Amino acid sequence: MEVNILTLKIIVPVKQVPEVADVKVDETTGTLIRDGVPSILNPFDELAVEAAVQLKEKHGGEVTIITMGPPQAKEALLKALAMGGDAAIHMTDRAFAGADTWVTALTLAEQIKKMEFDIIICGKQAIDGDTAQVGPEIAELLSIPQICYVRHIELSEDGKFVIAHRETDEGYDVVRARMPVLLTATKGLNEPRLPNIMGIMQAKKKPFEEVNAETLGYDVEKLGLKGSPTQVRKVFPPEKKKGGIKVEADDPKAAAKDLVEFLAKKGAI
Amino acid sequence: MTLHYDIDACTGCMLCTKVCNFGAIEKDGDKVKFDMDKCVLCGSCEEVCNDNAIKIERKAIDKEAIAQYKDVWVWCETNEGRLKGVANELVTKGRELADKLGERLVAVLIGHEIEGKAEGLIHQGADKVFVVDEKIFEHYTTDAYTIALNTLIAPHKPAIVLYGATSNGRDLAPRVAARMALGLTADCTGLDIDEERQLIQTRPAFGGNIMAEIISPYTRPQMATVRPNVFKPSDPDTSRTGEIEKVEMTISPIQVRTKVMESVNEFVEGMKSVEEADVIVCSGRGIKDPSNLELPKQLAELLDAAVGGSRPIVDLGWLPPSQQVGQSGRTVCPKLYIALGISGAIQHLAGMSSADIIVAINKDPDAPIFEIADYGIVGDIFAVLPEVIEAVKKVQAER
Repeated sequence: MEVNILTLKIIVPVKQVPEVADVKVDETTGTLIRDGVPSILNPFDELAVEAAVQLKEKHGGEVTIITMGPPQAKEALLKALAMGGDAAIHMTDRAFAGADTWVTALTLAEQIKKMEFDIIICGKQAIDGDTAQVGPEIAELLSIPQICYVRHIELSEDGKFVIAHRETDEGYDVVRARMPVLLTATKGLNEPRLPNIMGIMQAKKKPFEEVNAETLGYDVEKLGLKGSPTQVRKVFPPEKKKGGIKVEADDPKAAAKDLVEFLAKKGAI
Repeated sequence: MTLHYDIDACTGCMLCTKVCNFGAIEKDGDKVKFDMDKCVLCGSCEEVCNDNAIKIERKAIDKEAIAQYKDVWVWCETNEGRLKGVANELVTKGRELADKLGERLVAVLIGHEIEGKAEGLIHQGADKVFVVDEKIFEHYTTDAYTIALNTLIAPHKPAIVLYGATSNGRDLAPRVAARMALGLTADCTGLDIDEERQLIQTRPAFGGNIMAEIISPYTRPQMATVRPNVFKPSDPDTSRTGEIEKVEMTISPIQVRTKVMESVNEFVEGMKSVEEADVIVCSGRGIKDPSNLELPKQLAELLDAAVGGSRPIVDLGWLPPSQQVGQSGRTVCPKLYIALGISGAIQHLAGMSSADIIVAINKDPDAPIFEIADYGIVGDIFAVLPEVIEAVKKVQAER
């Protein structure tokens, strides 16, 4: 039986991140070189946007993209709209800056509380922080169930439940939860579409709302860096393990023999 | 929580612009300017400023309230009645932290028919084990486990709670922390106690390009998830004694809003887990074709090793995801790691660089993997590997 819920409301929280693969470390100062590193829509969030758009295409409904970030994060929202999102909310304010995962989740959840939703889909984690915490923290703050690291999403025939395949250390669980529910998307869920020209042009005309601390109506002392329970105390370059022996394998047989002798001597084999 | 910049005291040495990892300080004529949207008040600039031109004012800490929280807790994850490896690693590390604080190490064991594991945790270093053993905990669910942990944590007020950064640990910890409005540090690779008795949580960020030290100064308990296979478990001491407390907990199925309908184990029959093996033979793009994996598989069989793969070859479907080593796969810490045709992207290194001995065979002499390899052979894996297999066979035959 085909599920048909014309009112399916999906929210996708996203983050704009630096293309981590392009980030280099300055060898002398040990600091990150950020110049020229492009900002992108977090790849795991692309999976979330794609999943939301696919659900909408199949069952009908509406997809709202939301982000908290500096003015330039609008680009990430526009990309998600170009992929098929229907409306976007940009939470941007100096008071939001420097937020750790808890305050980020709090800020997003305060906005989401004002909205209607059946499903929230987040990316599993952002590639700059890799914490995977904001999704579950939003779910907790909204008092809704969560299914993290999903590779497959479907709706029950009565349209009341989400059935998802949740990745585990051993394989996956088939998990069912009544809506509203929060899901986090992991690799294998889908292949995110590339926005086409039509999509990119339409994105600029779609409903776009900006929210700041005042319109959110939340105590600024409890937001951003000020409201963050965790603090970065220090950052430093990772300790580099030093290389040892390096030989050219002009004679593969001799090189192999030397290697195996080395390992035998170390008791490794 | 503000940064004060004394522009008159600033001599324009620009040292601060060089140490800022967040791109928050820019040269502005002879002076500097701060972008407070980017600043996280980490204090790097304050530390290097010789002119005392930068002062960071932090929130006051309620020391009295914080002093009420004592002991180090470890959530010891089980799966189908088996204790996960990371549990013993964390009990060992937690013991060290508890000793530094002069406090107790408490293990929390939640599951079904797992009571028998409690004694082993005491041998591993725990002073006390809470056992919550009910049918409802047989399979992991976010709701049941969150309720159980919060029910234990709230009245006992531990100073620190540690979780393994497994699929379930990373699902559970943010839920527990958010319920108590606490900070949480993900995927730590280093833990220590500072002079103010705070937990120093070290973790990689930006794909492993940089390490960050995180503290949770204002709230307790301090919570962190810890990457598996980073800390080594100590040998159990069977003479250790401790207290085992069984806690009755009634959770109604209505409180558990997700239902696990089926649990699928994807480990391929006969394929050793990379997380548990002492030796890993790991292949990268240089292996060129899935049929060529026969060679690493042969070597793995001789060495009783797990067969691993880098992200590109797992993405291509040449090996199952369970065998992927690296940041987006498994973090491993074997005694011997043999990297075949792996260039060594930082994301890969983040998952394996703590192996005891690293061997790399790669034809590109500039491959980053050589920078960390204990033994590197620059050459064609298809020429070298068969010879390595023969040499291993010979050594083994001589024994």
